Amino acid sequence: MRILVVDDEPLARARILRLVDTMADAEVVAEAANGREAIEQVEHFEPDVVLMDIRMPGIDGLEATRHLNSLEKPPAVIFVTAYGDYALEAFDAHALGYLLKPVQREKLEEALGRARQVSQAQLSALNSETNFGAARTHISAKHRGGMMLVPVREILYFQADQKYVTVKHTDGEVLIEDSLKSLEDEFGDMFIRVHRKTLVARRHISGLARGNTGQFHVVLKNHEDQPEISRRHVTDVKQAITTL
Amino acid sequence: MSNNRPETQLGQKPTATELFPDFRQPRTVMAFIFFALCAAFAISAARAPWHPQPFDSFVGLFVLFMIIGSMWLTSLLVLVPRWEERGILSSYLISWSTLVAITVLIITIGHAALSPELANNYVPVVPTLIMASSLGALALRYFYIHANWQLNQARGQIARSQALAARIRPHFLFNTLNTIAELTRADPDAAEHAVEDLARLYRMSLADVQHKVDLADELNTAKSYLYIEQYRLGARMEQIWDTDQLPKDAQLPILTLQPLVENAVYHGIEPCPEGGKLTIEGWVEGDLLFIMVTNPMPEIERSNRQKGNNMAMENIRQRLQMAFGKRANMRTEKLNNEYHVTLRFPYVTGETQG
Repeated sequence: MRILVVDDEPLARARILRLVDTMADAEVVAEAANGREAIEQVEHFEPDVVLMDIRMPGIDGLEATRHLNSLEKPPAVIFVTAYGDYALEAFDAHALGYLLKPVQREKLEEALGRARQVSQAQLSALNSETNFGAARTHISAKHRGGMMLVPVREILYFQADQKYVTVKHTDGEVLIEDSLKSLEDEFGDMFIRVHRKTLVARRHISGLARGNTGQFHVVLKNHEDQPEISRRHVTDVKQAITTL
Repeated sequence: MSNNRPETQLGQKPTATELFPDFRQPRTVMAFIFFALCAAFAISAARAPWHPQPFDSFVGLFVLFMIIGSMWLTSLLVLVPRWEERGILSSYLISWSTLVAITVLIITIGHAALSPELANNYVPVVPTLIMASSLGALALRYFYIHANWQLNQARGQIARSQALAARIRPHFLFNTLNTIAELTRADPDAAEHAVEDLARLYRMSLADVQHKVDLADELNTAKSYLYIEQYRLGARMEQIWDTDQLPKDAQLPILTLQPLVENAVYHGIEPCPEGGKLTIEGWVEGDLLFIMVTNPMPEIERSNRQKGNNMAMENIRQRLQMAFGKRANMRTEKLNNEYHVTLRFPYVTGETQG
């Protein structure tokens, strides 16, 4: 059983490493100090299990897990937490459970044992429940066979097509499978709906423009794209711009 | 963890002196004049059949109440400070009978002086007694309620301070225990040191919040805290100390510096993947001491971390003010992506305080 240890504290990682070392059929294949590193290491090493600290700088453990779920073969994630990080009862339904710091050897063995028994199907179902309401700081997308993380702050707008949503960001664009509605719910006030198919980031809006046909468009800061505003959203958008 | 803290300030009953207002305060005098005005107005409006003849006008009644009241308050001003040991009931009885006696005296003298022709046949002793005793009882009752209210306010303040100062973030505690668990194998000496530091921090958090300590102690508490955090954060945190200028025997309320350092780590270092630099500087200007804590401001401040922070800062500010008055303050400043908190307080040693 191949394990990835994720924790921002070097000594906390060292402790898990030492505990796993005493176990017969388990080995730590890699370590990571935050959520972003964790995602990179998972892609690179494809571990069976990730021991994931929750509170970490940058991308935290919960968000990293959500991104890992979009992989084809997500690893089993066991959370490791000190105390009161997030609603712990939310994990109780989780068959793989969570470990409390200081981590005890027996508990760790038990948790790894459970992880060994779950099938890939069960795992996908479990991991998909790992959505604790908090908005992500990054959007993950498949990109050249790997995963690409786009900081939400750098997203200009989301545009829905037939099946996918195009995420236009300051460095290009990616496709994701989330629905526009779920993105709107998740990011709330950071984005404003300007069209049935479009959400625009408030922080990147600079103003309004009117086209030849009388149609309104959003003008973005430092970008030439001008997403169209539908008739029924014009008033809302105008109001939003005056309060920017 | 708040059960066995000393409760010296919390469970006390008010003393006799505390149950009277401070008559030297301008506010008390104003309240008294207002009360006399209202009473004069009420009685002259009611046109009671027994009203004392020479004082039957509104102005007359006002003057009468002012005279009686000032004499009573003066007598209390003299008497009350001696009542530290006296029971509440007896001190209230004495002040109440003093008022009745003064009133009867003034009314009798007033009648004799202002309307000599009436004085011989009718001095309204009984109505005067009724009026003085009932108004006096009302005033005393008001003093009692007001004093209790003020004491409750003060107790609430202290209780809140205690509760805040006593908290060790559970997250910090369990992470520290986890760190120590590893150190016992990897570096037993460091583990020993960390246990001592944790014990020190916990002991400080149990102390009475009004307790004062030497600056040297408070600096050591902050260092104990950072010693532990340094193990947790490793290379992500760089500490810079420049506090040699400060006189180590200066006194300040316990746990004023350590929470600031804790905040700096929690908001400035922990959220940054690449970490940052924490600076603690101290300097002297005249007889004022300054301590400044500086931390970087992370790009994304998690909103849930902001909660509680303002309350902790306000608590430190209030305790500094309680200890030093207006000469102490706390300033926060955001400058060049850095967050500065500066404490200012006068140089007071244990001896100068007595």
